[in-house]
Amino acid sequence: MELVALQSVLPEIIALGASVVAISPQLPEHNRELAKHRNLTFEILTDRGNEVAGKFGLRFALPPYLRELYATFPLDLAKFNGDSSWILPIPGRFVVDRQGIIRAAEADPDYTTRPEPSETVATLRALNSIA
Amino acid sequence: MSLKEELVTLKARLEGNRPPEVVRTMHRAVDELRASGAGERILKVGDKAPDFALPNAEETLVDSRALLARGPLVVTFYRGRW
Repeated sequence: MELVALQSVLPEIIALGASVVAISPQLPEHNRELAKHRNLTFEILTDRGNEVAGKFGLRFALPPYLRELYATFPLDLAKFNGDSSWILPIPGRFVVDRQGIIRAAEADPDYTTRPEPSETVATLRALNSIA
Repeated sequence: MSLKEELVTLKARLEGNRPPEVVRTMHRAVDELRASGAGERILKVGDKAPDFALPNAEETLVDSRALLARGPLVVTFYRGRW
């Protein structure tokens, strides 16, 4: 849902000279399906072992009681991610300027909250006006 | 509808379909993650973003430095399509 919302502002982002990547531990074959079903045209990248998520400070392991709960859902994380580590990224969005400096950072342990795409566009617009 | 409103609607629908004890367990995990100070490790405005090179859906490596050479970069971390 968040990725679909990002896709909806992608033309504005591209017009501002920026690009978008989405990162998860999910294997490329599942990302291909996701891109096709949701008509996503930005890059969807596979972060095996959540190594990059770790560098951004977003890596966490699901607690054992939550693993047990998820095991009762029709959800096979090992299939999607190609490992059975139960390690996931905290959802987060960053805007990085051309010098590699983070200009906006939003991440919340509550996986049901996300920053509005319009806020991301506003950050990029502000970056352009000072560049 | 804004993304926030959509998410609130989705959360209500998902949690409405699940037994209360399941919903409590999921909330507990979020609360514990927050209490663990996990948020303090997350990179902030003004920090240098780590460079990365990761395979895209076609298994071609995408390098953040190449993208940054063209302009600013939006990096979104998500959990998966499930």
